[in-house]
Amino acid sequence: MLSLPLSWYLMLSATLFVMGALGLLLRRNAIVAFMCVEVMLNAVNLTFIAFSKYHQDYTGQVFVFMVIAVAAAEAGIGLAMIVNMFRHKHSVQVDEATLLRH
Amino acid sequence: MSSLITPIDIASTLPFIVLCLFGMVVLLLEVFQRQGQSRSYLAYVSAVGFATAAFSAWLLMGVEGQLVFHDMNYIDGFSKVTALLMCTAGAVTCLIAPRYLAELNADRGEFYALILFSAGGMIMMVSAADFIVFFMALELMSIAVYALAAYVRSSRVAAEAGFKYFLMGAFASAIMLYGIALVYGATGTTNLAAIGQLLSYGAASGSVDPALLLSKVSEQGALAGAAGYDTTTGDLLMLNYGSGTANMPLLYLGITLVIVSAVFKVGAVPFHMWLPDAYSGAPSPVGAFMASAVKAAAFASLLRLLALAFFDYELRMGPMGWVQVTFFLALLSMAIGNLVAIAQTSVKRMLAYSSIAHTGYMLVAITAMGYGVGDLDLGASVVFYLFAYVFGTVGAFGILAYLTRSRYYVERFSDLNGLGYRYPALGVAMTLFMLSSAGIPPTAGFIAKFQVFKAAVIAYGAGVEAGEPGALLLLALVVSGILFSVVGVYYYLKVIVHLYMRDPVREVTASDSGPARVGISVCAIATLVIGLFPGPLLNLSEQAMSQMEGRHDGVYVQYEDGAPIEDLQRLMREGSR
Repeated sequence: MLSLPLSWYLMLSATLFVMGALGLLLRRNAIVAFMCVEVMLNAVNLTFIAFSKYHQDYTGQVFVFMVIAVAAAEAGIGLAMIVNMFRHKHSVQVDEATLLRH
Repeated sequence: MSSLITPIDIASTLPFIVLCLFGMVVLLLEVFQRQGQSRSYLAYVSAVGFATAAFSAWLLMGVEGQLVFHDMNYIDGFSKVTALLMCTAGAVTCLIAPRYLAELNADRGEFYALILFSAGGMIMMVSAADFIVFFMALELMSIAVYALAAYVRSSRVAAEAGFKYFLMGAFASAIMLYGIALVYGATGTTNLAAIGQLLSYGAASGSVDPALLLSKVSEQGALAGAAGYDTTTGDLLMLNYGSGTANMPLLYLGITLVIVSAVFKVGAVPFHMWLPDAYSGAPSPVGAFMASAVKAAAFASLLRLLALAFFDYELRMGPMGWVQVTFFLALLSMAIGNLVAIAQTSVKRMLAYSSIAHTGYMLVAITAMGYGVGDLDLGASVVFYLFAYVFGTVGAFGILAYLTRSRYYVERFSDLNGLGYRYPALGVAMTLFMLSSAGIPPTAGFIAKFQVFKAAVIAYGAGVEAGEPGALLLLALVVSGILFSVVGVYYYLKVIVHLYMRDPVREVTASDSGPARVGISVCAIATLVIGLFPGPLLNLSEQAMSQMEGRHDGVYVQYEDGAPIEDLQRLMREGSR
C-alpha cells in the first residue's frame, strides 16, 4: 500500500506544535492564547496516531482518547476563567493582567 | 486470561478511592446546605477523609511492592510514603481554610471537594507505572488546582492569578505530552519500567545488534510496540540502542521536553515566571496547597520518572544527559530564588521565591542521584526534604490565612510588626517555620538541607573514585548551595525581626479560628519534632526509595505472560555472541 512516510506526519505535527507554542507566547488575546493550547494538544494527538500506526500498536490511540477527554475538561475550566477575568476587567487582553507585577 | 480487576488492585488504590469518595460526599453535603449556613464542618469532614486515606496507606505498608491494574500502577514503598505526605498537606490545608473563606465571603463546599480530588490525583500520579495513568492523574491534580487558584470569584487578583496559572499549566501539560509522544515514538511503549529496560540494554550488555535486540524484544511480547522498528527505512527513527550516543534525537528531545515540563510544575528557574504571581495571587490556603502538595507531587513523580524510565547511564551522563540540565536548573534556582526573595515587600511573594530556592536545593539532590554511576538511594534526601518543606510552607501560609480578616489582607512584612508579643504562640510557630526554611537547627529544615548536601558530597566521592568527569562541579554546587542558603537566612530572619522588634503600623487582629490553630500547631510541632528526632522519618524516606518497584538497578518487572525481563537480557547477551 502506498502511504506517506512517518517523517511527513512528524514534520506536520512538529510545525503545528511550534505554531501553537509561539501563538501562546506571542498573542495577547486570552481566547486566542487558549486556542493555541488546543492546537498544541492536537499536534500531540497527530504525533501519537502517526507513531501508533508506525509501531502497529494501539497504545498511542488510547492515549489520544485520554488527551481528547482532558482537553475538553481543560476547555471547560479555561473558558470559565476567561469569563471570570472578563467580569472584572471587561477585557480579555493578556497584557492588561498586570495587578500582580510588583 | 486473568480477571479484569483483582482485590489487590482495589486495595492498593484505597487512598485514592477514599479521597474521591470523600470528595463526592462533600459535594453531596453541599447540596443540602442553605445559603448563609456555615460550611466549616466540611473542613473536618475532609480532614477525616485525609486521615482515613493516610491510614489506609499506612495499612498497605505491609503489602509487598507490585504492579497492579495490568501494569498501570505501582503499589510500593514510594507510593505509600508520598501518599502520607500528600494527605498531611491536604488535611492541614483544609483546616486552615474555613475561617479564611468565611472572612472572604467564599465559604462554599466545592473548595474542600476540589482539594480532595486534587490530592487524589497526586496520589495516583506518584504511583503511576504508565505514562497514560501519569498524564490523567497529572491533569486531575492540575485542573482542580486551576479552579482553586481562582476560587475567590470576587477577587480581581485571584482571577488573574488563576488565569495565569491555568495558561502556564496548560502550556506545560502540552509540552509534557509532546515529550511523552516522542518517547513513545522512540521506544514503542508508554510503560515507564519497559522504557527504562529497553533503553538500558545497550549499556548493560555492551554492543548489541539492534535488529536482533528488537526481534528478541518482540518475541517477548511485553514490548511488542518496538516490533514495528525497521532498520531498512532509516528515517527519523534511528534507534541504535547498542552504542546509544547521538543517534537517538527523538528520545533525547522527548526526555528533555518531559523534564522541562516537570520542572515547570515545580517552578525551577528559568521556568518560574508564573510561580510568584500564582502563589501570591491565589487565596492563602490555596497558596499553601500549591506550594506544598502540588510541588511535592510534581517532585515525587519527577523522581519516579527519572528513576524508572530515564536512568540509563547514557541518558544521565551522556553529552545531552539530564544531569547537566538539573545541575544548571539547581544552580539558577538557588541563586535567583534567594536573591530575588530579598527584594520582596510582600511576605507571600517572599515565600514564593523562597520556594523556588527550595526547588533548587532539591534539584541538587536529584543531580547527585543521577551523577556518575547513579545511586537511587540518594533520592531519599529529596523525600525527606519534601516532608520538612511541606510542614514549614503550609504552616507559614496558614499563619497568613489565620491573620487575614475580610478586606484586611495580611501581605506585607510591616503587617506582621509586633505580632510576636500580641500572639505569643503564633509568633513562636512563625519563628519555627522561618528557622526551618532557613535551615537552622533544631528544626526539620536543617536536617533536610544537611541530607541534601550530604547526598551531593557522597555522589562527589563516588564520582572521584570512578573517575567521572566534572565531579568537582558537583562539589561546587554544594558550596554554592550552602552560600545561597546563608543569603536566604537574611529574609527569613527579616520576618522574625518584624514579629518581635518593630512597632505595629496598623492594627491586625487574628481571625481566631479553631481548626486553623490545630493545623498550624500540627505543622509547628512536626517541624520541631522532626528536627529533634529525625530517625523515623529518615528511615521512612529511605524505605520509600529502596522499596521503589521497577527500579533500574536490580528489581525487574515481571510480566504476566513471560519470563522476567532479566532473562531477556541474558538471552540477548547469549544471542550476540
